[in-house]
Amino acid sequence: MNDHDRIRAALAGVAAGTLAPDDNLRAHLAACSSCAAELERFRRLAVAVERLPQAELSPAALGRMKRLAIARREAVLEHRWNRLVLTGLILYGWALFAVIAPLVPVGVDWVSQRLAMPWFAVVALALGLWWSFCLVVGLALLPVLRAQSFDLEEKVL
Amino acid sequence: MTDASAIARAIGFAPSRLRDAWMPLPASATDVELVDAIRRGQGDGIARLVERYSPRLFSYLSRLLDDPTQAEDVLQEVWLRVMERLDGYDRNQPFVVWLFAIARHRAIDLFRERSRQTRHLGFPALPQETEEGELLEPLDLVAADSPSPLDRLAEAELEERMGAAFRLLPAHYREVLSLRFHQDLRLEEIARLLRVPLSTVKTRVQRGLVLLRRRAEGLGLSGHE
Repeated sequence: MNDHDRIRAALAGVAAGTLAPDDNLRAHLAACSSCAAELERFRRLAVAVERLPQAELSPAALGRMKRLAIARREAVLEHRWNRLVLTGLILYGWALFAVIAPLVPVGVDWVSQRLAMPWFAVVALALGLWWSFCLVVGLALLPVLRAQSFDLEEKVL
Repeated sequence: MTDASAIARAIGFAPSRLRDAWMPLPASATDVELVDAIRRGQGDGIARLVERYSPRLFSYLSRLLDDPTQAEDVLQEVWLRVMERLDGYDRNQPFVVWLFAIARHRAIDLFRERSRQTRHLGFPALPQETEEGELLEPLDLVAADSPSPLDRLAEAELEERMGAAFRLLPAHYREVLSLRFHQDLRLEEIARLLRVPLSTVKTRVQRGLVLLRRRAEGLGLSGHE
């Protein structure tokens, strides 16, 4: 490839701004009218590409994008808050257990004396009452949880 | 888990809800300032960010996917993903590059769901091209001694031919030319976005322009026969 061919091969890059013309190139373009004309054609091509009509987003679509983005961000924050609360509750539960664990045998012994029941029956009774309480609370909150997930879907849609 | 939020809202304490700041964000707020505002829970930061970048992203995706309807769907998914990942954004990276990278990845996912064919259907490969539109031989420029067909076309017709020729380019050339000429991204930003060396970006721009010229002159020649 001679100097002329090498310069011709670089003209597209010069027109696109990816290649800076050096002194050698400038001198050649000043002396060679065909290469100068070729560079001009590539420059026109680059300008034509810049002027290609751009697809436009409708205002309605833009408004929908904003609503969706806001709804998703709120969902992310809500999820993060819920995880924080859950983590706090779990830590609280374990801390509470650690504090009252030494008192459990004393409490079971006291209750078994009062109710004249063996200690394992007291433990079974206590667990049964606790699980029943959780079941009642869970069933009571179920409509609230369903309403929450429905609201979230509605917001996103 | 959502009952915690329900209880919090019932008593008027809802850290999971966005709020409007007492002082609105300035019109000249930078991207990083808007991101910081969103992280602090300001809802108007999201609206400003969406307004600022949706037109550019839509234009880019339309060029890449060659389908405005799909571009709108992808843009929607992009904003959802941005809102999920905003807390992981690294301030040292230009926000526009991070944003366009998410859009690009989603578009690539869509390409994978489509056919693997990257060339426009029905357009035959030239003898010196691969099926991907890559040039096999060194640039074979049109001889400049005779007037080029491009010289004979009026400007409006040139734009029309350009649009048709642009759509016929392989996707990777369409993408890099769109990023360079329509999105005003610097070459270094394009290289970072595409995760290729700077020299590759320059080569693609250069080759894309040459191939575009061939396509355009091919369309122009067929119109003058």
